[in-house]
Amino acid sequence: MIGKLRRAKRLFVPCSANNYRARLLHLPSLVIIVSLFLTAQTILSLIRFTRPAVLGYASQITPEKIVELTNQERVGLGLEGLRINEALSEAARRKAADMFAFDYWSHNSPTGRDPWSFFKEVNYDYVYAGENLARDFVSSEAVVAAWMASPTHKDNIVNSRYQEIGVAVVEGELEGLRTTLVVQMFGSPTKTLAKGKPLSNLESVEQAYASTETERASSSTPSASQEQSSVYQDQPLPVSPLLVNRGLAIFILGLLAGALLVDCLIAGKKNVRRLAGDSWAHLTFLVIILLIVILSGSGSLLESISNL
Amino acid sequence: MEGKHGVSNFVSHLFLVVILLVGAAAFLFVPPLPGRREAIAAGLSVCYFLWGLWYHHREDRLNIRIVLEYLLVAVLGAVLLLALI
Repeated sequence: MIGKLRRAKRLFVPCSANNYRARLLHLPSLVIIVSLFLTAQTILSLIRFTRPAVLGYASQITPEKIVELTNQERVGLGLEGLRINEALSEAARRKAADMFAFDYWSHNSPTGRDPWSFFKEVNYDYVYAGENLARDFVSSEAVVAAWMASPTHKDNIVNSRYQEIGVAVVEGELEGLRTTLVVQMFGSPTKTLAKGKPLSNLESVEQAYASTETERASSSTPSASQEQSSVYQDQPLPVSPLLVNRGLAIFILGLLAGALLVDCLIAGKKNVRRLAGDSWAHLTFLVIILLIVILSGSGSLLESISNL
Repeated sequence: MEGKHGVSNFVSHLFLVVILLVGAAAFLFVPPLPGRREAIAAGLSVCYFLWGLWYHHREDRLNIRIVLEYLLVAVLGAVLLLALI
């Protein structure tokens, strides 16, 4: 017992037995820590590809909320809210299904399809069109906030030339990870008058919800995305890779920061001179990394695309 | 003489804190577009490594063990950040 305590002390506390530098901060220990973390990452990647749907992002994103938040941003800037167009929503759903079917995270499919082909497929004739994509986010607010923080996505959201919108939120497996794709399509139809009247935010949301539900219930030939969504309904929520990585990172950073703090205090008190890096600098660096780890969120975007 | 060294030491550390805070703000607030966060994480770690070299060179205490120590801490920081992306 005493031997274990001594070993633990040598690991964390600078003393004559460890040359006045906690063993955890010695070069071999740092190499081991980096190697262990990389091994953990490799295991996570293996789980991702051998047992898909175990790791992923469970989200509470809904198309109606995305439309509502998008229109809030536009109205806040003095623009008209976009009205929902069912053809655009269908084009967005087909785009998401295509991304899952051909496993790509890009505006253009590996089969050579560009976003505009989905507009044509649903017979949506446009003058102006655009597309925003997002994945791995957990809430509608986070998606729209990330888009608004990106100048090119914001340009699509607050573009006065667009009159209509279609949004699809589809769950599936992309690049080995269970995820939620958000496809937002904008358009300005060639026949403006034929596409219906502009709706208020609330009406837009209600219409979007109603149409989404109707299509899910009445579709006799469900799309790939709908099939994938129904597959996941019976499965437990996936473990978020972000949470796993965050937990591991906090543990490692906490351990090292603790050892460095003890090192700074004891070495400073005893005025020990050693041939080693500056512990205060290491501590500052690791604490900043810890802050980033705690504060950062999930989700990624692709550069937006439009024909403007 | 000791006072001058103390001030210079403080300024060096303050410089490091500013660089790291700017990097952290960039990581947290840039839109998560492909490559951007990766570049910031790598940049932050490279800046820390270079600061370590510069600081110890200035103190005339630069040594291969110190270089390796900064390299490992910087790599650890980069790896932890890249795992979040």
